[in-house]
This record gives sequence, structure tokens and C-alpha cells, in this order.
Amino acid sequence: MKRIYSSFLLCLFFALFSATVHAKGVLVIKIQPVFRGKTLILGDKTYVSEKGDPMTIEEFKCYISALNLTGPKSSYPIKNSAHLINAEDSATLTYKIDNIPSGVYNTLKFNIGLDSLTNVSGALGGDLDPTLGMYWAWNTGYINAKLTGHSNVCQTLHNKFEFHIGGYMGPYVTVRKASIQLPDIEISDKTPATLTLQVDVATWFNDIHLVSMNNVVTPSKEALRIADNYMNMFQVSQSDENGK
Amino acid sequence: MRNRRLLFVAFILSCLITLFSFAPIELKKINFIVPKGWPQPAYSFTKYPLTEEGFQLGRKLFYDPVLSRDGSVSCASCHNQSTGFTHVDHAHSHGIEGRTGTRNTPALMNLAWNKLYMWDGAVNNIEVQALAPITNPIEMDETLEHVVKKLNSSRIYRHMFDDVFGDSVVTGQHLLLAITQFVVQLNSYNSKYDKHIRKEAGGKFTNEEEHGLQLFRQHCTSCHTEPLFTNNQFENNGLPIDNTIHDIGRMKVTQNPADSLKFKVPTLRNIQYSAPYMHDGRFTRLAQVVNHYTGGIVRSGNLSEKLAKPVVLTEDEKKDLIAFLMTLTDREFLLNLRYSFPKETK
Repeated sequence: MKRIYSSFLLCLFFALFSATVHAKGVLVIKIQPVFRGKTLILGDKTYVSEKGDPMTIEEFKCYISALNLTGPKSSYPIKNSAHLINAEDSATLTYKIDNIPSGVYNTLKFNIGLDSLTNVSGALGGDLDPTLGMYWAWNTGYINAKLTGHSNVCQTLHNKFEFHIGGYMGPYVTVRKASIQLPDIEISDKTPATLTLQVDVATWFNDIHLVSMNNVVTPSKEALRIADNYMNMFQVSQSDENGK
Repeated sequence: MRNRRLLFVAFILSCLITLFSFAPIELKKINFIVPKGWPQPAYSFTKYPLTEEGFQLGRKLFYDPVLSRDGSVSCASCHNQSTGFTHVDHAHSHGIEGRTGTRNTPALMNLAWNKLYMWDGAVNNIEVQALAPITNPIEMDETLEHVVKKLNSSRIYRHMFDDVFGDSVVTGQHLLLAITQFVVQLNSYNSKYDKHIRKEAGGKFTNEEEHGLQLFRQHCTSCHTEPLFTNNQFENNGLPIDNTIHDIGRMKVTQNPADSLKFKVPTLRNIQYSAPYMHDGRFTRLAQVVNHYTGGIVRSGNLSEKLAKPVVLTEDEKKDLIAFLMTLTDREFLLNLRYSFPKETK
């Protein structure tokens, strides 16, 4: 009996020991869709692009994947981290990452969109399930990011503009790398850290006129141009107490 | 004291019952057979091993018109088993509301050895192939989201998905994986030709068939490579372009002009029954196909280099070649009840 008791104590000790040595923490990323810094409101609100095109935004969806947190001392790749952001669904605007080794991190790297391996891996589940409206059936592959809306400059049915940006094969590879400098974020096993990122959809229209470019729904040169436009759409929100 | 013992036994029993009722159902594993002398399949079964329950679920879905928007068309409507899972007598198949397509329904067999699917290779993995016909407006004109919704309202399907995937909520992923379990098992390797190669009973070739095999190996095998009778490549086989459909083939997918008019090399297995022939079903008889290769080729810029040298055959040689092609018929496959409409329902 005594022996059982002591081995139980030993186990408890080890459990505690390993918990302190490999302490892990949580980071909660909050995503705020914005248009030139102002909260994005889908539907009726009119926005004006850099080139002066008035528009309303109907839908904004975007994949982020292959997240990696880097600090002065360590780098932590987050496995299977593909996440679908949908401006219409507030649940998708909070992304919780568990089991991050404790420490200080100051850079977040990720892909906007999905890599080619994901695109050839058959039927996937969760955020990658093909029922989520981000999958092309006519030519296998994911839509990396989607933005649709209306503008009276578009000579289209219901003045609609539609951007479904995807393509994983050369020369039309539309996945983009993002690397964001963070204020020092301390991950510990105590309280979860939070990080608020703004995603500015106005960047999509940086150098385009909606009158001439309003329908990009296949892997193409135009898709590459829009992907280049939006590669810097994610930024750390200045208004929040990040990292605290 | 006795009461206590009884209570204890009852407690243990109830624990065991609870344990068993929560334990997942043991699925019946199926080993994928690679016929002797064949290469390994391109599709890997390690991620999703084949099971009898998965196969039967996929089979039920394959024959169920629930996949189409108005419930009128199933996979089997155009992929009929007795003709090698293609649409007999139809150059172009029709989807819901009689909408007509632009390409000939491909025969389905030995799909695990393929890498790209459809005539133009637009689909890069068998698991997602079914999405194309389900969502194509001229085929089933449905959305995957809606099919999933319909299946979730069926008690039978929810039970079957639960058995196979351990999740009674049907998802798009699980629907596609179930169909995959069925279609990758549609394998044909018991034709007279196969028995001839394996030196089995029923494989003795006539003189004409033997001569036809020699001619085949001389003129056709670089594209229709044994044992699958396809090299899985895309080739321009010199068909004059159809000006009404103007189908550019593989170029539609790659946007590369070098791929203009290239189409997937189809398998020739069960070709006796899979008429009409070619990507647009323009030929109804094998003799027309052979005459195309011996005298009908249009020599455009990117004609397959394997057709650079003209094929010259006498009338007798053509007959022998066709006699050989008939030996690729696999009746065990075409009449196998395991692949047919599932009459038994749960």
C-alpha cells in the first residue's frame, strides 16, 4: 500500500514538473474587417475606393494558413492552422491558438490563402470542407479570398463586382505570404494573450478601376494583380491593448 | 452480504454495457487488390482505408438521384455499369431538365491508377471529382451545401454516415470520401486479354486476336499503354476541330496554348461496349476509330508526336486489331452484382 502511495506521489511530482518546464499558453487572435481603418459594414454602407469608385460590400471571406509565431529566442509553427475568415460570421473573427510554448513573440507569419499541397489533397474537413463556398469544382482548387459587392460604375447585372481569387499552379499562384511585426506578446500558462488584427479590404482596389475590372473569378493575371494588392491587408490594430 | 455481491455484479455488468455501447463499430476492412504485374495505384489508401460499410454507402449515393437539384439524375444515369459505367448511345449525356453536355461521358474503371480526372484533367484528386458533376449546371445543377442538407434530413443516411465516419452529421468531406470508396473499387482486370497474359483458362487467343495484339503493340501502345491501356497523359490525336462546340480541351485548364486540343487518353478496356468514342463521342463504331488513325488525322502544330509516323494497316489488319480490342471486354466486371444498384436497403 505504501508503495502505491509513493509511486502516486512520484507521478504527481513529474506531472507538476513537466507542466512548469513545458508551460504552454493561449493566444486569441481577433480579426476586425475594416475599410480604410473604419469597421466594415456589409450591405448598405457606401465606401469609396482610392480611385474614387463608390461601392457597397456584400461578402468578404479569406483563408489564412500556415501560421508561425516567432520571437527573439524561438519560433513556433502552428500545425493545421488553416482558418476561414468570414466577415458575416462573427465566430470566425476570433481565432484561438492553444499549446503555444511560453515565451515572448514579436512576429506573426502566415499565408493569405492555401498552399499547393492543400489544393491537391482531396476532400478535406473543418474550415477546408468544400461546402463552405470556397472551392472550385470546375477546376479543382480553393478560392483563397473572396470579395463581392456593388458599384454603380460596373456595367454588369445589378452593378455587381465579383472577385474570387484563387489558383495554385504556375504561372497563376495566388497564395501570398504575410509577415507582421507585433508588439512583444508574452505567452504564459496564466492568462491568454490577445492580438487584434485589422484586415483592410480597401487594399483590394489600390490600383484598379471597377469600371474596367469587376469580374475576376478564375486563376489569371488579374487574380495575381488583386492578390498583390491585398497582400498587406492585415495590420496590427493600433486602438487595442495588444499583447497585454 | 449476498445483496452486496449482487449489487457489485450488476454494477460491473452495467459498466461493461455502457463501455460497449460507446465503443465505435468495428468496420470491415477491404484490401485493395493490385492485379499481378500492375503498377501501384496513384491514389493512396493509407489516409482513408477501404471498408465494406464505406463502399456500401458510396454505392447507395452513386445510385441516388438525391445528388441532383430536382432529384431526377444520379451518377448511374450517365455511368451505366453494363457499358463500363458510361452512357451508351449518347455522344453527349444530358443532365437535369434535358440539358445537354458537350463531352462524352467517360467510362469509369481502374480510377485509383489515374492522377488527373475529366477529359481535360481539371480535377486533381479522385476524392473531389464528384463535385464537378454535382455542381455543373448542365449535369446535376446542385450545390454541395444543399446535398449535405438533404442527406442530413434522412435518418437512414445519418445512420450510415455515423457507422462509417463516427459522425452522424453529414459533411461535404464525408460525402465525397464515401463516393470515393465506391468508385475506386470499380476495377476491371479479368478480360480475356488479362487471362491470356496470366496464361489462365479462357485466355487462349485466336490467330486474329494474337495478330491484333502484335499490331496494337506496334502502333497504339505508346498512348494506350498496357496494362491500364492509357498512359494517363493528354494528347492531341488529330481530330478535326468541331466548329459548333469549339472545345479546346486541356488548354481550358492550363491556359497554355501548347495544350490546345489535347484530351485525356482514355482506357480501352471494355471498349466493345463503351461506344460512342472520342471526347465528343463523334464515332459510333470501332472501325471509324481505326480509320481515323489510319487516314483521318489532321496534322496540326501540336499533334501528338506519337502520331508523327502515319499508321498504315490493310483491311485484314484492321479487322485483327478490332478482334484484339474485343478481348478487353471484362464480363465479370460489367455484370458484377456488387457494383450494381443496391436493392437491399437498411
